[in-house]
Amino acid sequence: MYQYDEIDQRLVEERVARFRDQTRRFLAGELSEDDFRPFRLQNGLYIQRHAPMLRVAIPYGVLSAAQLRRLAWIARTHDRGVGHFTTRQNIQYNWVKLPEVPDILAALAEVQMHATQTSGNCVRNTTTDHFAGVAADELVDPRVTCELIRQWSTGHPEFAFLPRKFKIAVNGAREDRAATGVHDIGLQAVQDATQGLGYRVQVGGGLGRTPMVGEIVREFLPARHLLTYLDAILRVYNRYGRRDNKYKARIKILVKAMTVARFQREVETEWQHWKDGPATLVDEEVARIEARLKKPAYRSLPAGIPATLAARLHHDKDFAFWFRQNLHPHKVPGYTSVVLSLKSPDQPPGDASAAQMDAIADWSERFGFGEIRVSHEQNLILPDVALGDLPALYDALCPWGLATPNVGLLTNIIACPGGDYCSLANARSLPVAKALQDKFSDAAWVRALGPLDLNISGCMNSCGHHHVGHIGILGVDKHGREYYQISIGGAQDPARLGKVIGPSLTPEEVPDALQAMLEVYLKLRLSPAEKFTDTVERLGIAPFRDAVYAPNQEVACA
Amino acid sequence: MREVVVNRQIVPDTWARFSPEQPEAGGDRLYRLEEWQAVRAQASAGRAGLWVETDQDPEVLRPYLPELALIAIHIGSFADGRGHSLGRLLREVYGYQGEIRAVGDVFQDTVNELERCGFNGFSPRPGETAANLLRGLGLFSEAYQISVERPEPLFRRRLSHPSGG
Repeated sequence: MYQYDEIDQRLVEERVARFRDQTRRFLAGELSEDDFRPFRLQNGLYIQRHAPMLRVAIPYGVLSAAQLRRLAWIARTHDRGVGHFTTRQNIQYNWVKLPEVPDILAALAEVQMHATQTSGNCVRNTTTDHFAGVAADELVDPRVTCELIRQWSTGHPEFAFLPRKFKIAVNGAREDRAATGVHDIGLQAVQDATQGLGYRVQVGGGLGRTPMVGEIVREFLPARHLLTYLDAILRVYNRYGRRDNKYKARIKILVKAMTVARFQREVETEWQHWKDGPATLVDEEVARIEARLKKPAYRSLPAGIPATLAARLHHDKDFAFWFRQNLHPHKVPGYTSVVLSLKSPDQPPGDASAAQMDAIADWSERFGFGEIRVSHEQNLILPDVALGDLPALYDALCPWGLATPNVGLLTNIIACPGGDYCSLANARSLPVAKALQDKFSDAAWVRALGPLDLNISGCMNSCGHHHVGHIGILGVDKHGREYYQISIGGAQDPARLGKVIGPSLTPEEVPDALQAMLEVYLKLRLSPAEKFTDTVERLGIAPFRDAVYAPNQEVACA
Repeated sequence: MREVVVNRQIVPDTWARFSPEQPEAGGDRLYRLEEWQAVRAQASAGRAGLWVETDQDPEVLRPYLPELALIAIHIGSFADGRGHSLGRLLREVYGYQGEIRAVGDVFQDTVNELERCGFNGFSPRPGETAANLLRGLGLFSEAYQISVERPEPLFRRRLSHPSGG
């Protein structure tokens, strides 16, 4: 994590003071609900079905042990002992009380955290690869870029009231683990042989009601121009984005309406005002941020598998499954990153109890350098575990239900909180997730399916990113009843949107429908190496659609 | 007389909307662009100001800027952020030196960001007071970004005062 200096600290405290005053005036009736709304949203506070919901930013998904303990403390003190990690590297508390929120923000500020701009029509928390800085396939560490953007976007005076929300994602690895194609701005770091570090800039991606993959507006933006170029894009959007219809207000609609070519010209024109001006980055600032990102003191370890680990792998099958599924290659020999699955059958996807958070904070110190990552797949990660420590870590995780060996598999279900909590939702997500966990409890069968992303959203806002799920489930409301629309063939890297297979289904029909599709996949795939998405790509949706809808027709014929 | 905030002072509002029925009336007059284009040649004594909406193209205003003591940007809803861009463009690109005043849906919680975008005049909406507007200004002791208020980003100040870090 980036360690604040005294200015960063003061700014976050001043922000808390401002919100405390606004909350006081709201509670005293001096600030109306309509006037208060944008300000509470910009401080992470929604009014939800049961209670206000507070969304806390975890900038680019990096947490220290002390910060995670503070999140646990908040869950215990101000919520019902649970936090929900979201698809945008945030944590949400579903049961906070409005008068306590300024105190929660103050408690966050003490550990250099905030809920700034986690909602509202402004630049939101910047997200990135959850293996940033440790992944073996990394070209450029995106965290410095993310921190630069965090600072630039925090309290930006010109862009506090954009037409709609604005999400930026940065990726620095070969694999795009940040879903840059489906963000308002997606930045792919590129190391150019002559020009050095830069970014490929994609604009206008997004999910929601009108899902789109972003358009490339610049193949290579030299890194020093990052902030001035972002200013230019945001200004064009702020001035010309639609404000008459909130469903047509995202930048993707503007880019489409203007055409990419004209949008690029407008951005270039605005950029000329700032290009090479004072906001052009200097090496010293990049170095300053780098120095404030805590760097682990890695030991020099042998590259191979230690004997104790090899022995455990040999005699413990469950351990071996976990080892194969939940680890990610590390750039430093002898280390690995371990994903702690928050997708056990017993808890809603992405939820962690206060006790689990405290335990994870302890392990991050015992088996790492006191750092934890949050993935947009709603899991937590210990990024720097020595291979020799894996057996001990596994033994520690198991009793806590945090070693479910399902990362990247069907049961690693990504889901929004849905209608159980969210007032925007058309349908509930969690009961469907639970029904699917129960249906697909045969771990060997799930493993046989190979890599599968299953995403559930409770409404068009697509917080569960169903469009880019290999299988996507979208909750819809039909005459006051919950139905679910199924799409297949979506993918995050490269970004691809799934296709709807047919009419929406009742909640009871969903598990069988998935089972039917997956059996068709197992039958039709050319080999176990052909992934579900490849089979869909090769054959189209027809065989899957028929598998889901044909049985009913047969019944009708009989 | 109504009170407004100008340059962080509470002052009486001397500006009145131009009335085509009384074109000769003196004092500080606010014109719509078409009105100013029609009468600027024979404008009466007193200062001239322009009343514009947040979607105003500043390029159209360029020829008139030297004649205008004030540009009132009408913010219909405080959640419309286009005025913020317009303020910065007028200051930073067009070099406008006169008063830029926020009128319309202006209250304590909106003025801080507007001021950073080049607004130096604030007319409180009905029910709001100039004293409250003053309370809403200058809430932050620093800022990361460049703006009219701070033409250099924080990182350049950090470089010149490394002890601050």
